[in-house]
Amino acid sequence: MSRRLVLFLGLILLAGLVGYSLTHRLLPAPATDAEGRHRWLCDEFNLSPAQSARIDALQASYAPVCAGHCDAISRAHAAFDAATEATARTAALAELERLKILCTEATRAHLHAVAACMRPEQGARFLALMEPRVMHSESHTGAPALDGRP
Amino acid sequence: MPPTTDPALSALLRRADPAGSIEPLPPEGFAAAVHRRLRARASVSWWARLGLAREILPFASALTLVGALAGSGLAYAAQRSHTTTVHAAAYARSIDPWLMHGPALASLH
Repeated sequence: MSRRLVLFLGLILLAGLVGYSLTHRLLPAPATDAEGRHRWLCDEFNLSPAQSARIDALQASYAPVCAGHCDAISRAHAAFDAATEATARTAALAELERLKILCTEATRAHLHAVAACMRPEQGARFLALMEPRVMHSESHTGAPALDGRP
Repeated sequence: MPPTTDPALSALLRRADPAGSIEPLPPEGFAAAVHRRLRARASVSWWARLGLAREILPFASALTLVGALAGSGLAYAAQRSHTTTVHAAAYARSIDPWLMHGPALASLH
């Protein structure tokens, strides 16, 4: 009887491994382009067409703000790279710190505005998922491409 | 007729011929009958030889299906979690200028 039990358990394990492997290979990789992100947002947080349209409008109005901040960061970074004296470098670093705080606050405000378009429980889940990713503390800061962190 | 073979002999006969009968053999010519059964195993079909497998095939099929479904479910849940992480990171990068362009300030000091 114990041999049968071992055989059955081995069969379940083997079938489970095969099922896991096949499913893992067949499922498509996530698409992270703009359309993929939009589709994910709608599916993940069960957005109605009206909610989706409101969020799209918010994104469109936020885009120029984001672009302005991007330019400011690029200018400050260029100023830092070009600075040769200690005082100039200190000033450039202070400007980068200021921009970091500004970006963090602007992004958090945008996230809260997006969350307000969702149902309350979905909005709370959205904020729980997204806010930690835009909180740029001292221990986790910088663009992924530069410091290698996700 | 009361059974004349003991349990150990019954087990021996079943191992020799799983699909065969283990009805008690008469005492007379018992050894010859056992010998005949063991020799007859060579002419038993594969289907008969797989008697044990035939017995457990339905149950084994059900277990295989359950195992495969459980494995698939686990893979789907893992992929779903991974997808959420990837999309959340991509979305954050798309709306946060500092994630897009900000330098690692610690490295600049």
